[in-house]
Amino acid sequence: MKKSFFILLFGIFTVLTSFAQDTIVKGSVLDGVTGEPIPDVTITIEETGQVVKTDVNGEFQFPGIVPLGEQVLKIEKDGFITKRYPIVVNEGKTVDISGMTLNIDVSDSVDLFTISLTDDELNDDTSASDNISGLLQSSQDIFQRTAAFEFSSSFFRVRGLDSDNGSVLINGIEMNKIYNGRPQWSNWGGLNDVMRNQELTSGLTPSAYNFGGILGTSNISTRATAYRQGGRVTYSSSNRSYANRIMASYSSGLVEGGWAYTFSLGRRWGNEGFQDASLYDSNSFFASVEKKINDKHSINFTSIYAPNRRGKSSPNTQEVYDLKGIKYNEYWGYLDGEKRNSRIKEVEEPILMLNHYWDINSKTSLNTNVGYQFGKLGNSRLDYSGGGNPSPAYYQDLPSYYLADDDGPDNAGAYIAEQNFINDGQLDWERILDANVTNNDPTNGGASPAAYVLYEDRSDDKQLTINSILSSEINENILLNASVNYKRLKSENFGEIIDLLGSNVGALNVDSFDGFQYDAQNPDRIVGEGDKFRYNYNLFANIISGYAQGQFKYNKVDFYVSASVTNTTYQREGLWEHSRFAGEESLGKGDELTFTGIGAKGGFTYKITGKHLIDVNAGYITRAPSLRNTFSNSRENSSVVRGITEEKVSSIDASYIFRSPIVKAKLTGYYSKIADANEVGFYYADGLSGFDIEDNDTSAFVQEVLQGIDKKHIGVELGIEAQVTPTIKLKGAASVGQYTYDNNPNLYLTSASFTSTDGSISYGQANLKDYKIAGGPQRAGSIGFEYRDPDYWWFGATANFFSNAYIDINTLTRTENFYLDADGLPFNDYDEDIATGLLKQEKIDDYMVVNLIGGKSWRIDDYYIGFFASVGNILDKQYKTGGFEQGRNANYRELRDDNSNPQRVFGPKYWYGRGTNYFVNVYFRF
Amino acid sequence: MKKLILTLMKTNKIFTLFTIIAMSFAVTSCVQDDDYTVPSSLGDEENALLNDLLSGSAIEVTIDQVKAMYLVEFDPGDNAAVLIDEDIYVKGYVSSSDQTGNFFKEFYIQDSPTNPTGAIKIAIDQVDTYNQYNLGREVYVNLNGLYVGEQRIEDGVITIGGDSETDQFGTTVVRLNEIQKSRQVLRSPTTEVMEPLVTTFSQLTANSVGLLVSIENVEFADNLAGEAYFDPIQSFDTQRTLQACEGATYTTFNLETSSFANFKNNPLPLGNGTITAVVNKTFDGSSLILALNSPDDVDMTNPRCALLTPAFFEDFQDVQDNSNLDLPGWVNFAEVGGELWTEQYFDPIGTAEFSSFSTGDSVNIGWLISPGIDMDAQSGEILNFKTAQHHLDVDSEDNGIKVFVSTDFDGTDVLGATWEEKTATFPTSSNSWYDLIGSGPIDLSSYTGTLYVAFRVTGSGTNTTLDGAFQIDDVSVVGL
Repeated sequence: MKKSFFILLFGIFTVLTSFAQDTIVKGSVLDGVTGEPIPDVTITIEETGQVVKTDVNGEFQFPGIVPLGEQVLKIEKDGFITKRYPIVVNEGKTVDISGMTLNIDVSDSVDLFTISLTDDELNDDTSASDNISGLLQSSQDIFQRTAAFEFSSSFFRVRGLDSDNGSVLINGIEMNKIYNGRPQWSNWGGLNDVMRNQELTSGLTPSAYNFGGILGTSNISTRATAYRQGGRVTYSSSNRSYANRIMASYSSGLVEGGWAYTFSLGRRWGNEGFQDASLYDSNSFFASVEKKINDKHSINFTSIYAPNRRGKSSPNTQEVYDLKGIKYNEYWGYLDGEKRNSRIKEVEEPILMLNHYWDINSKTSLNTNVGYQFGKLGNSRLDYSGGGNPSPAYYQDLPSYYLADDDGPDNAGAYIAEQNFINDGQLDWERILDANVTNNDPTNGGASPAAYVLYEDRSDDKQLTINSILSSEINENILLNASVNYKRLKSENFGEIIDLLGSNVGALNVDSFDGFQYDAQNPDRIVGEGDKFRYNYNLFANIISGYAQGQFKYNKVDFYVSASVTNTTYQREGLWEHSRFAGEESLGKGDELTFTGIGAKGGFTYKITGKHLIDVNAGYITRAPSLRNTFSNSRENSSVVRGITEEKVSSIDASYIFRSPIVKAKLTGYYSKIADANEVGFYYADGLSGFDIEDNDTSAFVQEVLQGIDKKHIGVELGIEAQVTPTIKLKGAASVGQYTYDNNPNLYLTSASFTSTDGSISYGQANLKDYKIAGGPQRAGSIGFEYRDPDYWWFGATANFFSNAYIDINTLTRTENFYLDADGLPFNDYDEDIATGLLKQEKIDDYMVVNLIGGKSWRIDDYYIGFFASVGNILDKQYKTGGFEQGRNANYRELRDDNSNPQRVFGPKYWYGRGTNYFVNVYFRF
Repeated sequence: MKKLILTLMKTNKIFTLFTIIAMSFAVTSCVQDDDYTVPSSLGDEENALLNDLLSGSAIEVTIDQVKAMYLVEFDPGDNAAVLIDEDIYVKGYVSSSDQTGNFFKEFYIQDSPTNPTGAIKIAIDQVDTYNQYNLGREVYVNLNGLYVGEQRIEDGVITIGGDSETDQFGTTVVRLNEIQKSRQVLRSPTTEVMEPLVTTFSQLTANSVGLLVSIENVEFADNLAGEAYFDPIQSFDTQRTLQACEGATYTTFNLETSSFANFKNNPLPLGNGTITAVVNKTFDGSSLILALNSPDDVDMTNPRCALLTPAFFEDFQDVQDNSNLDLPGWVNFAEVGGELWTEQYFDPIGTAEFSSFSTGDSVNIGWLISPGIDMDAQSGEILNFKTAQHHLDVDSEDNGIKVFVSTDFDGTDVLGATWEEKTATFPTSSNSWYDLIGSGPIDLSSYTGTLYVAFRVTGSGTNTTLDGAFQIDDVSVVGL
């Protein structure tokens, strides 16, 4: 059936256009100012959509069949103004259009220098802050660009999907973390100049580098020969995440002896971004050296080192925002007159890469890469094992707690708490240090261990990746890609004390909550700065994968098929014995887990005419769960999520593409389903039922395991732009989706405080079906315009609309735990109508954000000076971007009682978007 | 490679530029660093407040004076927390610690680190007070605007609080809030070595609440072997019986441990030795208990003590409740008024009781005299007994109990015999009702022949402040 369809298509297009085998179209592209050749320029024959790229010398040649007659060549490269050249192709003749020029796009700084979320380092362990925008920045697609630059600050997620569905590659080596499948953007942050050679294949469309996920693949090339010769110095100022940024880079271009090198330095810093005390401190270093050995072989060495420290900011309840405003951050306090943030994320993971490029012949190339990444990722926080909870927004310190007094509202207490919180409401570092100094006193019974310490949750990874990527043109129509990949990870995970905060004793390495020994073989150990603390284990992962893909390009239709297979093994090695999970349960190597993933996908683009195209893709992927979602309580034991199996992802999309000289538009419908996924989370739960909890308590610190989750993502996307005059472009984009849970997965909790043998309690099904998946607005729209003056200045404005964002639900309340009393029978006052109201998922208010942007550049001799500024959210709209229900109040009575309080004590916590913010950028280019 | 280097040198200018940039990085690195050194100003604010207090017009008062501001009334509803509106302050030394979780949002201060005579509780809305008001810390409380009273009506634990609240039972104090704490509960830089007051169970009274005491030669009760400090069946607190050998019997006292104590699952020690703990009361205030600051304060590694075989022993277990006492050999004699000693049985304890309540006699004096004890069959005799009171309102000769011995009593003529009074520990009105406390050892080694022990109670059947009753139990004489 399919075959005959394609034959039919062939029949149609051969009628429409004449082709010639021995006709050649070739040429070269130069920088309009410097005259230097520009590599990596995309040349498209518009009618047929045939595409080639320029090589290092800026040269290109269309292989095989080219259409005859008057044709238009489109020449485009990120950072340059796209040009269209009319040519006439005559049969048997060579069309040589050497010396085409491209001029630098004066507004290219928009793409490269806007701070998007990836700069913010919001990759905390919260789903709402996960973001794919970094993947999409290099896209030419209007919808994807809008998603990256206009929607990202609202935590919009393309198709509602987590970023682990997309791959970020540097020189063919996947940079997504094995731990959670997500790219760690900060590993190459602040190096925008040298990260600009990106090649994005979005969605299921075939990538020349890997099989990819359902969101697509972005490959960043750092080949030294691929950079334009010259340098650039940039300074930026902002109040978004960092206050200042300077960057400088220089590329030699190909110089004598076949060498090329590129360097870049960047520094971004600031004492706070939009949120209070969200400090930013990042340095970036980049070097890439390429040696072209001969025409066939080239070797490139790249090193990237981008240590980054970032002060985190807290999600807060509405009560807190109402009292302190949307910039409030509970993690900091004054110490010696300085704002000190207790929660710092520090990433320091240098990357070293050696790449071998081998052009076996003009049709076939083999690219072999070795990458090694090592270093540390740390998240600091306060441990308060010997003191009260230091959080200034601790629920017992807020007015709502006093108003919820069992004996009726304590208005006086609430007033005092309110005044206290408004006037102070930050971490009391002096009290924390004083507590430790007090504990140092040896007078009665000897000195006591530290009441508070600052420690870091650390993941120190060492990852080796080796792969070979083959690309071969079998003939004019068939391109074959294949690769084999090997990845090996050793991840050392532990807590480490980074500051004893004035204690001269040390911290006691014992769980103060229930007295368990973290390290039973060294019980009651006192640990000091630099010592490991709380937990200590390794995770190992070995991944072997391969893929093969055929891309078939014909004048009327392009299609592809692709298949992959992946073998993944995981293992945990406990270095400490946890006294609750004695012996092998926590100590030593646990079972080795093996997962086999397969992937298959295919799709076609049918060119009805040059103006109208249809694009259809479908794929099915099974994949190992991420390390994070494999071990149910990895800090304390080797337990694996029950019934763990590969996740199954299926996806299909279909697009209609319209291209005219004035209007470009794309309308896409998609459907994706993720099945058999697991999620492991942890929090403090209150209101648990069951007899298996220590001391007959109803609260415990728990790991929550949701197993066998199905999710459904369905929706449409639209992107449209119209060049209404040579200087004015109108833009529009919209996404209307519905992302829901599609089944009722099983839920169980594990905790050291549970008395059952394996420390778990099952709560049966969580009734999640049809609840919305949290993580940004499910509907977003944008309209805007750009004006580009021939005199090298331009400005633009967009209005962006967001709706249907939902807060993350507390899944435990959707299980039987919600209505069961401690004896396992339903509460006798359970009222289903009230319960339905309590469990209704909160929808975040709709909102609109208006952004302005503009710039100008000047050319002085061979130099450019550019300036641009943007103002985000100029109307200063206060809006929530996301939130989550707190893990407390896990049952009907507690939730009902909390809801009936004048102000909820355990109401949801929210993130707010930024108020009016600015970004200013100047650069000097030579 | 050589060529590369040459090329690099050509681009010297560029490197100069990079160097400048790199240096400017170093200069501009003004982001907060990781160093959390203790600021030299730490505690300045508190010191300033303390200096202001001490150099101001405020007058120091003693802990006893503060406690005296609040009088426990025995009629429900009469109790009310008292607002302190004078410019006074009190000084004390922290005697309790919540480090192990055995105290919650409270601590005690006593009047001296050595040989203390009184203590008072400070109720404060703060967990982990130990890391601020550490054991032995000299603390000044600026009392102006605070309250003195009880947290639970009639529990008898006098407490400094930050406010008062009233319900149908009376007006109690509530905890000091954060602001009151930081402005009025001020530490001096001094932390004294706390020398626990060495005492015995018998000597602990309501006035001892809050004192850090040591009791020597004690052990946990025989039936507690293998148990832990806390019994998981219970919700809040567990009482474990401590005992000290006193002649033929044990004197006992309860150690109470909270379910929040981190040592709650530690096994009780099996041996005999010393315990250092804070005197406290049960939640309802009905009896005195000891509460540990730390399990390290229990040092019981010696062999357990042995009871002596008595030359005489009476535990009043063979009694008929509410009948006049008529045990064989005992003499029950009313010297003034018509009231006799009675037998009382409150399961499982039997006692002998003398009560003048509602007798109609303006004065009652009753004697209870033991059977004759042969003082020649052994040497080194020691007398022990236990006494409890109930409804005792005042400590007065007119409503009291005394113990005497005689070797010339003829078995009938009470007033004709020569009675020699002996010093013993008796309960006072501040003891809990029905709480049997030990007499302490009474040396009888100098007596020979036949000895009689007599208990004489004075009371009134018409004056209700003098109608307290006394009970005695476990009368023993042991020798070598």
